[in-house]
This record gives sequence, structure tokens and C-alpha cells, in this order.
Amino acid sequence: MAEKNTNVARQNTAKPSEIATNTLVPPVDICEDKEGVILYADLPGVDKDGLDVHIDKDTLQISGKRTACGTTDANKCYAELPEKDYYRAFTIGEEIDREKISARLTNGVLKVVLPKAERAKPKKIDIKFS
Amino acid sequence: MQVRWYDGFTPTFNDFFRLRDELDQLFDIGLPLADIRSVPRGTFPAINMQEEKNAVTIQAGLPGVDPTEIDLTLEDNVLTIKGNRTIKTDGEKTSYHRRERFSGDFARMVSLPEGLDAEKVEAQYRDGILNITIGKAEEKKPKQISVTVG
Repeated sequence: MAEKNTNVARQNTAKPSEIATNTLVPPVDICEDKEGVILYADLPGVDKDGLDVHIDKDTLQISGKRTACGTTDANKCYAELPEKDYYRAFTIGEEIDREKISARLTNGVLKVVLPKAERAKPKKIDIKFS
Repeated sequence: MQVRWYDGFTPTFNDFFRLRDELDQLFDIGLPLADIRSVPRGTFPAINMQEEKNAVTIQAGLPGVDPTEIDLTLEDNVLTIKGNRTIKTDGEKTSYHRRERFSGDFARMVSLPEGLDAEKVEAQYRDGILNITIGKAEEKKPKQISVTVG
């Protein structure tokens, strides 16, 4: 637990571009409807303890610590999954309700739901006829 | 203090490096002299394979794939990983800002080192990684030969 705290502290002080050194950029899908924005990220090899989804002001930071993928001393034949951690950051707009953001990790896929604040949702305006 | 200009770019450059990587990936011209056995970037699934003393271990990155839907076959020393990962779109009312994740059918064939025992195969799926262990045949395992003094 202590380790995780220091990790968070480091992220608060470091700029996203500084953490981006030596990390993998996970592929993402981002879609939007009138309810909000949904982000999916492929993070194979990351478990719940290794995942950190963090919001600092306007920045959504996703970092995932990879569990060991094969032994290091063995003779490598293929090495397409590098031994690196994942990191990616996005800026989020004013219309996202910071308090209602939720995240879920299933089978190495992270789903982050960023609902829009009530005031930012599209409204249909009734037209009165007289 | 000795300052070497090439030793450590400022973090600002990382964004440029990433841009260069993305452009290379787009055209796949990053490696003009690529290995004949190399695979293009973005090949799904990405795999790691190690040859150990008693077994060959393979890890395939298959996030979000139903483990029961993965078709894994071993024939003539060639391992085939097949399956489907279709990402459903949520109808016309959803607009996409980014679509970078792989979607569709995939198949990957990997030729394995000699001397494996097809009966000693184990596959386990965890956190989006498929771990495959294939044991070596007894006669192919390294043997310790004791030297006797005569």
C-alpha cells in the first residue's frame, strides 16, 4: 500500500510527458454519446493492484504496472510484448462530472465511464404555439 | 560537470518521438531492413516466447477475449492461436473520437523449437494474457553426465 501512495505522489508532481518516458502507450477507443464519454484501453497483463486511474484537475491519467511476462533469464525467441509499464494521459473538458467517473477492469480491458454533468447534456426545447 | 548533448533529451522531445512512432506505424516504414520473419507493428496478438530448460513458454496479449473462444492448436510443431475479438459499436448515436484497438478475427501461427512433447501443453488465461507452457520431450532435456574416475 505504501508503494502505491508514493506512486500517486510521484504522479502528482511529475508532468505527464516526464512519466511517458520508457512506458508503453496502450491503444484506446473513445466514444461519446449524449450521456457521456466512454474510454476503453487494452492493458494486457495488468491486474487490479497494478492499475491506477487518476484525475488531476483536467488530466485523466492511466497507469498500469505489468505483471511479469515470462522469465527473464530464458532464451527469448519472440519478444513483442516489452517489459514496460503502461501510461497514457488525456485532458478532459469542463462538461465531465468529476465525481461520477467510474472505472472497471475486465480481462485486461479497462473501461472508464465519464458522465457528462446535467448542465452539459443536450436539451430539447419545447416550443409553445400560441 | 561534463555535459553531453545526446545524453538525455528533455521530456518535451518524447511527444515528438511518439509522433514519429505513430507516423512510422501508419506507413510501416520504420524498419526498411526488417527481418524476413518479423511481423508488422500492430499484429494481434503480440506474443513473447521463451525457451527454458524444461519447457517453452509463450505469452499472448489477448485483452478482452473470451478465453473459451480462443482456438489453440498444436500441429507439426506449429502453434496456432485463432479467435475473434469484435468490438461492438453502440449504435449510430455514438460518435467515436479514437478507434485504435484491434477488432475482428485474428490468427497467429508460431513455429516452435524442436523436441517438444505435444502431450504436455498447458494454457491459462489471466488478466488478458494467455500463458501457454509446452513441456520438452524427455530425450531432449539437457542431461547431466557424471564423470567417473577410472
